[in-house]
Amino acid sequence: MKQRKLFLATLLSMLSSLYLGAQEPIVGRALVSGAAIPATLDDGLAQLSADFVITPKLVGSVNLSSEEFPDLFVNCQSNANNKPVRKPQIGCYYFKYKGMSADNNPTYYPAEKIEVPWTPDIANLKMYQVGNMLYAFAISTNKLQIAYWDDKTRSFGKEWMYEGEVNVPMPVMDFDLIPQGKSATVVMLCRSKRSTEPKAVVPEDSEYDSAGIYRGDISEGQVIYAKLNMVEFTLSRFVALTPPNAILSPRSIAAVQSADGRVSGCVFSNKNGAIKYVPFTNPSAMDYIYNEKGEVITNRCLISKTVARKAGASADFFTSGEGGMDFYEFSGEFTPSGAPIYKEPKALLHIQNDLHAGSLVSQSVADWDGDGIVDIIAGNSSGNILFFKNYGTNALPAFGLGEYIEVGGRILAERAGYYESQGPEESAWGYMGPTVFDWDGNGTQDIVYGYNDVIYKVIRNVGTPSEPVMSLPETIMIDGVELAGVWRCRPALANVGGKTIMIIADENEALHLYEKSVGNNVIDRGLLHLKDGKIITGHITEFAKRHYGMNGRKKFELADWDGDGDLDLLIGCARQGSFPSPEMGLPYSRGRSLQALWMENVGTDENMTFDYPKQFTFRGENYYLGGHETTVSACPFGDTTSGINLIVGAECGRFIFFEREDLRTVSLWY
Amino acid sequence: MTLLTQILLLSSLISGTPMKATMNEGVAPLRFELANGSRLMGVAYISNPEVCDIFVAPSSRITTDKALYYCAFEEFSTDGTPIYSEPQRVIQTPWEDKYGAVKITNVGDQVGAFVVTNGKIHYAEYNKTKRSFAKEYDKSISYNKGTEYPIEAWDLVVDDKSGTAEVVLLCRSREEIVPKFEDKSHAIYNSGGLYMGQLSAGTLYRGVLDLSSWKIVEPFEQVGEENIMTMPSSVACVRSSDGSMDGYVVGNKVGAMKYVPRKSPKSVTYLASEGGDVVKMPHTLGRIRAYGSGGDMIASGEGSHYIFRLAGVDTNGVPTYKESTTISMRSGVLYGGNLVVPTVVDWDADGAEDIIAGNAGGYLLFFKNYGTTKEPAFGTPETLCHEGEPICIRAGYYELQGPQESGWGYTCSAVIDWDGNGTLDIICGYNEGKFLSIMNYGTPTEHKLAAPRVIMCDGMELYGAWRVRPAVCRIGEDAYIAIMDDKEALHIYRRCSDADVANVGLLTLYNGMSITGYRANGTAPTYSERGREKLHFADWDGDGDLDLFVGTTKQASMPFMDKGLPWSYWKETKKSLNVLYFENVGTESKIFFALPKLVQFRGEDMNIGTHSNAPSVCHFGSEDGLPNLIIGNQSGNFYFFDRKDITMLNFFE
Repeated sequence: MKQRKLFLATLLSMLSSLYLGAQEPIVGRALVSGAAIPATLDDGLAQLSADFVITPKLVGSVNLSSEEFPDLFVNCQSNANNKPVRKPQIGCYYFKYKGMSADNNPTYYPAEKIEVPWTPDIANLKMYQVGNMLYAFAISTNKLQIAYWDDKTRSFGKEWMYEGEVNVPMPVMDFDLIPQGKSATVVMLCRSKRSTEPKAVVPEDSEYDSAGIYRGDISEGQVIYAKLNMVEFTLSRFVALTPPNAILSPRSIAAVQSADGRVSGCVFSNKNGAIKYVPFTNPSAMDYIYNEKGEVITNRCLISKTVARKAGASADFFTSGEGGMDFYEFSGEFTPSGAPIYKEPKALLHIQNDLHAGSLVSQSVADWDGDGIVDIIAGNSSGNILFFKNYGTNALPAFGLGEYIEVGGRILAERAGYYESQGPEESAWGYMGPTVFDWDGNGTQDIVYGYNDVIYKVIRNVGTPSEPVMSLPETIMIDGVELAGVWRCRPALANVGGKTIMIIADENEALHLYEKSVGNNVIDRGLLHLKDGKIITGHITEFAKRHYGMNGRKKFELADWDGDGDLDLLIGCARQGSFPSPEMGLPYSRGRSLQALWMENVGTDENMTFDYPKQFTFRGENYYLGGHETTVSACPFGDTTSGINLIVGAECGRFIFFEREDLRTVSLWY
Repeated sequence: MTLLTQILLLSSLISGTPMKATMNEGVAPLRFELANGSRLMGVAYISNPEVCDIFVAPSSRITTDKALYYCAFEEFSTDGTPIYSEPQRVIQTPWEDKYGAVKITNVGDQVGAFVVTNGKIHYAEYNKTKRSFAKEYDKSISYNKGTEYPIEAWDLVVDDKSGTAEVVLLCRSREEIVPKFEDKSHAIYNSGGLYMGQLSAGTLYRGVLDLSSWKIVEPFEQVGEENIMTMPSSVACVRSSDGSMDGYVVGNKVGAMKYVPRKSPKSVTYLASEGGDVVKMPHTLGRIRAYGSGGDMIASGEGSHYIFRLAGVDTNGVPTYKESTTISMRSGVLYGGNLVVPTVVDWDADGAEDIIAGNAGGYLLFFKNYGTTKEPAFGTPETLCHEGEPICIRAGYYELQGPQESGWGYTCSAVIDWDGNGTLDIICGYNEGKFLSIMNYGTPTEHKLAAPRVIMCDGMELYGAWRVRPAVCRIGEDAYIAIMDDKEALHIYRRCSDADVANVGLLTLYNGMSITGYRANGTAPTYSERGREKLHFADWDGDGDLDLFVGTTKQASMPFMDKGLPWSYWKETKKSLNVLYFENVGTESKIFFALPKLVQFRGEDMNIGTHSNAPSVCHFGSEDGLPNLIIGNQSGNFYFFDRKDITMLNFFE
């Protein structure tokens, strides 16, 4: 019956579009309650990812099925325990190469889980084809392990083929290996200096001193190489290729070699997206890698692993990290100073995929392009915002690849930078939380957002709905000072009586109401309260004993959830969120559960007063999507005859759809 | 008078003095030398029945002048700039230092000063002929202000018809709390990035004084909501001539202004411009007064004095204002904004050296040289913009000294052809310890500045001591930037792309020792006194390699912690230009420095400020092609020094 309703709704929509002369919408797929929203276009093409994990780790690039382009092996680790709703899928996955997309993105078939002797959290592992054999090597500071691929069982087996000791003089962050018959050159990115976290006397102690300088140490890395005897598996003859401070926050390394030998060295990367190249024969020429515009390349994938397309036999390489996986193809050119130039990286994709927006996605559901159909705008942990156009209908949405929002001619990557409250090594993260709203009242959608700073900004559409041109970010101000609250929150916005109101979690993590005045300036309209007059906060007392960076992370949205004509408050948060008070609140009191709350407005829109929060469950069960943070949005997707439905943006980068009929609420007070 | 004659008559270069404005008869913002700004003490029709004269008092820690001055209106220039006379000292006043409590205004045919304190209201009549007040007040009463909260600011408007004066008080209903820790290295923001102090807030109260009986005829009562403005600094009663706009403008220390309608005081809104943008004071620490009787305002603070003309009033009685104009005077000195940081360079490629300057407000100014390099002629600067909007660089909420400083930027700009494409770009530090590149994507003569971008190193923001002007240079094909790094040591990086650099290493003395700039035991309650070095590469001695000038605060200690300059010298003499010269004793590409010397003027020390003096070489007035020096100081002036007058004190020998 429901499917029939959806079909009829779509048919009506299509006929209307044809009558009006609009472009015929693509027929989308019916959304499955409790499942991620699928990609629909191009056979479900979306960013390569493996299930509900934040950071898939690429460990192997091998020409198993095709010589044209490598297949991939990816380790996945997830702490999103979704039992009994769905089983967490951790392990190692094989992606078979399918071909290039129309935009030259390498595309793959859906993942196939394989048996391996290692756990997904293994630090350093890479794969190599030597003759007809495929090996997996794991090299750490004091251990060498080797497994081999069995074509018959299509696995690496349950046991290591070889395990032995090695003694690398410094901690190994990553390695790569260039097989050369009975020996191999092993290049290693080692940690030459440890990072240290500043000691806090009290939990409020900042990571920075009163000169604004980080009180800890940032790790440094050095590239060394050694010889591996492939018969006896001994590692020796360690030689430093770079100075000890070759890179801050070292992460990964890959050996690169072009066919003509002009590229012969290593690319190595750090947590923050920097990628450097050091040539074997002239290591003093170490430099960044550059794009075709002559700009230093910054990798969008955070904490990225670097894997050569073919170690020692290709100048191309892959990166994988929080946010996705990319392919870097060498252009064949060099900068005047001799640094290699790479083409714009191409995201790796696979078919029959879920919609994917990076990691720790925070979405806003709205008609972005003014075509009458609701789209998804999503922020992610890299500080980007993606636009997922709905090519279908609200009832049967059809999404494809997300398009990055640009400002000033560049992809927006909003970040706190050096002064990130968890330290400068987190400075490449952004934790973007956008809300789509016509902030300046000019009829086009703008985006007001929080991120990993304590302030709020807006990018305004100064173009048209169908051809948006976004302004540079402007800060929301109050009394000449930037409006501040706890970090990593997404503001709720609404038009009430012709005025724009904004709800944030303030400096005390209390729900606070502001009203837009002139320009980007707001006026304080005071705290919001429960029906019994108490204020509403979202932190727990226990975290007063820990770093304050665990606070915040609240994503607010105003929506008439119960259909009674006034705006309620939907809240997504981290596992440590505790509404309405630290002594007793949701979701913290209930442990691992769906971090999605509803606070019913029992007053009016002009005078909001809220009931105690209720927490959503899925068909009566907890549905844990990961503890970092979630974002809840009301949406008109699917069958809305009973009312609006819900989507939850999860830390794995997916949007989980929930039909309201499957949502039950639980409360601590009723 | 021809332009050439103007220029010849008004030479701007006298060694050891601030450069004067020479264009347009030397019209420049009304200011006092060595003062950070001046307080507006009153506005009254005295010399002209249609345009008010003003009373001002200098505010500064450099000058000890605390007198009151009278400035008469002279005329409007062709572009509408109001030009006033040079300040004339008022002979005496009955008050001493209570400047915040004084307002001078018209009272019928008289001009008088009202002084409102927490418990008393005084009045003293002004003698226009003698330009003086009496030693004693003419009238005084005690009164009940209707609240325990102390007065932060007040205003008073006289209604001649009723013979009364409405008195409006902006009281501090929430006190500022600045976090203090035993350990001065402790940040004032917590681990969540939030300020651990408390910003002050103000509430309005209003009463009416009968000027005949000198009694309060309407007791003081609260107006509108409590805590109507954070960091309150000022209130002004403003009314349009037709009465359609009648209310109070409340200002704060970072330049915000709100309008409170008298009849509906809960309908508070920010002051808006004709274009719908918010109107802010151009500089901080503002004080506002009504200017005349038609709804216009005058604001003063760190900077100069600015007039806001009422543009219109909507049907709800909400005013809009035009862009402010600066009150100016003739024969003024060039003013670049407080804590000005100049770089002398031919910005517009016309063959004459210009000045590009950053300032405390966070802006970047272009002083075009309308004369020649040898005989420069400067006038009103142009604010540098990106796509028509002034570039304004500020740390914002996370200012090291607290959010109450978020109205400042302390932009420290350097100019260089960063990308080597033949056009000049800007690299700057500011009050956040990061560094920005502002690229010119236009031509040498028609600049188009891109939005500022943070400079990165290894994927992280390049970070060091705050409020440092980086030294920039080109050596061979490469561009370099030198900063004071996160250990406040001189450190050099090589440009890789417009917003990326690679670490080259420390710049050292000839003996390999690093060069640091801080004292371990400064006097400030936090480490925010650190940084602030103004670095500048220049071949001073003409030997073909780059030497280094460093302007500092008096607290700095280079190259050694605690035993360096200028602190070791300043603590004994209490006077210094606070500019150091490091001679390059290496080569162009391998730089090593000798121990620093202290710059003096004709063998003597000068005190032109202690916050931070910013040197730049120039060829102004140069007869032989060798460079001279200008130093930007905390009161926003450019002090010129002929090289023949510059001596170097060899402190370490």
